[in-house]
Amino acid sequence: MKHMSEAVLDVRGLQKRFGGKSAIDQINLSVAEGEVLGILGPTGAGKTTTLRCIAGLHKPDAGTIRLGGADVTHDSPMVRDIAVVFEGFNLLPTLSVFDNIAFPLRSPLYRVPETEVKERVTRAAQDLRIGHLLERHTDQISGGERQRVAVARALVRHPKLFLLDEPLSSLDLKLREALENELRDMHRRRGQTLIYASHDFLSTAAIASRIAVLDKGRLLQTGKLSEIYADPAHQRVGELVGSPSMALLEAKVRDRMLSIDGYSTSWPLSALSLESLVDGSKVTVGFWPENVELVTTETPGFTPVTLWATDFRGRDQAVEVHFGPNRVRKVISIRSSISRGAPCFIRLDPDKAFVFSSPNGERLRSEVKSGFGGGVTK
Amino acid sequence: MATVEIDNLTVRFGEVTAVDAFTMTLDQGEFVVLLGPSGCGKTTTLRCVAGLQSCTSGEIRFDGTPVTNLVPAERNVGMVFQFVSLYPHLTVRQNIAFPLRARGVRRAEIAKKIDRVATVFMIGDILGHYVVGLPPGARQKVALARAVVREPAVLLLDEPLSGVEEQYREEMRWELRHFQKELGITTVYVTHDQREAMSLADRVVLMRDGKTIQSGPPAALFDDPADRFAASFIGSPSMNFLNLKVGADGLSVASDQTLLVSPPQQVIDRYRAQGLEEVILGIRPHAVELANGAAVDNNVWPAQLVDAALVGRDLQADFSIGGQTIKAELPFDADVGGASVLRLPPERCFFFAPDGSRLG
Amino acid sequence: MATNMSDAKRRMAGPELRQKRTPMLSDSWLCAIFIAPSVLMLALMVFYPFVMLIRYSGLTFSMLRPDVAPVHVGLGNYIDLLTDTGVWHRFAFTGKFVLATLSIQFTVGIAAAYAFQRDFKGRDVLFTLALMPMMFCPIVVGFLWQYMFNSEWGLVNWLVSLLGVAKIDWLGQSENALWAVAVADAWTWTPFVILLATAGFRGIPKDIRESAQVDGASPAFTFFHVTLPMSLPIIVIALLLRVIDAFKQFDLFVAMTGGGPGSETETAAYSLSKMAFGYFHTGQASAFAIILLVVIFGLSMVFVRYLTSLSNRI
Repeated sequence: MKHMSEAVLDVRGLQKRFGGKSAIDQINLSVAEGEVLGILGPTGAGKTTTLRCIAGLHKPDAGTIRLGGADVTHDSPMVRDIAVVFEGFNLLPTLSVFDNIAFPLRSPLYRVPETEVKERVTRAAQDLRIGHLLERHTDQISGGERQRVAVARALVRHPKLFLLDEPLSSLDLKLREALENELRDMHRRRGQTLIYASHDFLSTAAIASRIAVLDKGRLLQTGKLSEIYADPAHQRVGELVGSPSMALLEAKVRDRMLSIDGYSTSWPLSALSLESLVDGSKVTVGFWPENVELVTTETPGFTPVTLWATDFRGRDQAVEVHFGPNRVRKVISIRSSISRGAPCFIRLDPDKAFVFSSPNGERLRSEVKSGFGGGVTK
Repeated sequence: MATVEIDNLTVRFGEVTAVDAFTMTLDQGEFVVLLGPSGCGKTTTLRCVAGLQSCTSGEIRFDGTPVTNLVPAERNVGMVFQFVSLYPHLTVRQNIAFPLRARGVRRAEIAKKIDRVATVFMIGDILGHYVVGLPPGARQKVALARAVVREPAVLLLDEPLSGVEEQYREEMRWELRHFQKELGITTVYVTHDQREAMSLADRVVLMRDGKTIQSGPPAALFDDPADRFAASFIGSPSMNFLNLKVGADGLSVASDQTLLVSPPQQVIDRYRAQGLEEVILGIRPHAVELANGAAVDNNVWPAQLVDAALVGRDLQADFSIGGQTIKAELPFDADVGGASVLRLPPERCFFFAPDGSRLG
Repeated sequence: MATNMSDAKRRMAGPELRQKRTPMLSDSWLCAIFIAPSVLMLALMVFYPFVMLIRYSGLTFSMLRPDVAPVHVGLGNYIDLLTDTGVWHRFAFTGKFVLATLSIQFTVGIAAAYAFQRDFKGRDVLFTLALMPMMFCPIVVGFLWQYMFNSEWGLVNWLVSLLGVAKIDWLGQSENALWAVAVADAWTWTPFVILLATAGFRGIPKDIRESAQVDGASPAFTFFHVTLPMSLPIIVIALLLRVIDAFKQFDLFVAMTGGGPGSETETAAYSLSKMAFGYFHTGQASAFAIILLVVIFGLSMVFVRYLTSLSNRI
């Protein structure tokens, strides 16, 4: 945590309940200045609740929120220096684009003279390439333009922190690409500190420098993408990260060997440094698809699998193969002509295996051997 | 299961021509996707095949028999609507049974057919549930089961995944592809999402303003687009376009006259013979190569790095060439610095005239 | 990038805050302030009288004679009423009346709504005309139908005579009167059912209708298996409202039968009003009112339960 002293946002132990049910619990986040933090999680994970607590729209049941070093946990949203763009944008329908963007500046909390308002609004609008729309009404502009108006409105105050809550999910692909570019651009030019919440991995990965994975109200893992790939903390992290995401295979421990259902090779527990597993227990073994080898001709060491479906992705294709109760999705080059029903074979490398306990999904890390001689840590 | 022929279908709404002389033949078991921006006529065409929309002119035939004058109930088609439209007051089983009961099929027969589709779609465990509260994806499967239980001539799908939350859409696509192949049912699918189209189709028909722009397997649209519209519509991230000027010795970036590409002299001469002063070069981001330190040939150009981001396992880098932006998808460990050299392999470049038509 | 930042930062600093921090205004306080006036009104005009009603039901006294001290009889009033066969006859009659009028209202109403689904020439005019009866004042409707059902020169008997049947004494015999008043009540309120049923039918999404078409269903099959079941929530609401109103029916009986012959066509409500404002047996009337309330409440609960279970599905 080397950025501690520079952290724009420091959230500790955040908890919020709705009607007795916990929406988020034990959330710890910190965002350094100029950083983009991505919050990744499925719908209902608590991303919106977290953002709303940070913005001050919900009163947290426990925890502290420090913004720029000061404790703002009990402050109303108006006085926190945060801007938010929600899904749906929430533009004021009765005002023009100019007035929408100017709205936060005209609040009685700030003493901004009208000339400065005009200057800031125009600059923000030009940054987002909507300078020509300032006189229009909000119902006369397209979806992508509304998006940019919402962003301009949030940025015109140069807030310490900018929160984006799934702002792109309602847009179609082309528009989304364009706006992802603009957000990156904006971040790069202004050094704006950003938190971006989304359920879409590719969207989040395109913008964020660090990712916090959220599921069922709990923070599963935080870190750079490369760190998460190297060391996923939980099965759910594997399910949510990557495109395609991690292949999760059912496996059993038998005779001190780990065997994946449907896969021809078993591995001794010692090879994985997981001797503490009990015979007869069930686990889940995860592989990033890139670490699964797939070929179309019979090769020693490879297990035959059934090709279930293919997916043409343009510059490559994805295939889904089934074996036993398990399935793996993998991206392969377009040059391998593979079609439904064709023979396929895969090989898995135990060094690249991540083992998770079943059914709770906690990562089982290889044991460090105590005493002399050191251990094997993955 | 049948072959479907759409012959010169035209649909006009007053002054507006929604579908213009649309012609297509589907082989039995083929999965065809009608793709295009909203308003291109794809949904109207689909509804004509269903019988929900009347045609101004043209004919539709199933297995050679004209059906143009039949009402939907008589055509024996199965349809899944955009927002699924399951009967909320019936259980899953009753929903699937509905088309059979409407046609007076015997009870025993109905039970058999339901069991068969329930097995294919793996919904046996929710047959007794009411529709509300079904998990996402399950609704689509029930709708599909209902649509195919009658073994219709053709299965019609109107953006059935648009109501599904994004995170489940990919999963649904995999399953849909699998089911369609397993059932072997002739299918027409309408969408505006090119990703869906690429993923699902045996054949894609790209439409715009009521007309067919290009029709072929997904790879054909991807690797050999018919015009600029097709090139930009298909593929994500989108194709890069560079405006070039036709000069005496080659093509140069419009905003900065240094040589970029020099195709064979005959090609340049041909462009000039056609009176073209400008052409547009199109290249897909993943085709752009980093050529730092590589041997210089006529297909490389110095570029300035504008931005780079790691997206999944790729590095998406934006470069500026003479003021125009080009996006490249490079391996995640590519070494990009401020000043770089890019190579645009000529075999992966497409050329378009300013009016959008594809040049040889 | 870091070197440019500090310059850019200074240029782009946000505007200064003027006020000190304020604590958040609690949501619950705001809610309380907004609903206070309505609660006050309700307390004054509903809760207070209701509490007094319960108090009165335990006494024997008359409002006309405030000088006579009220006598506490506990549940005496209730027992008297519940053991009085006359009272039971009143309830039975009321029940029969409700069934009679509702059956007419709903068969005619739903059939009419079905017919109005299709667009035909003059549909809008006809629809508006069909709604007019609702706008009449009940007492006027009562007198209108009283004339229509007059056994000597009434229109109904004239129509009946055209069919070759002898004149029927509509209002003089309680069995006939039941149906006569039911017809008058249905005439007034069938439009309501038409309106709600139409709303229900229109509320069915176009997609579902088209789905049924594609599934091969005929218009009749669609109506009975899709349209009607999906409109059930709104039809049940209509039913609930009509049941409550029919139970309270008073004006029509006043105008058409005067409760006669004797007290045979007195509904429970009619009986109650006689007791309270005819004889001024205030205590007894209060008890009767409470009994009537419990009956209607119980009936409504049945409907509401059914509605809730329906809305979980639809």
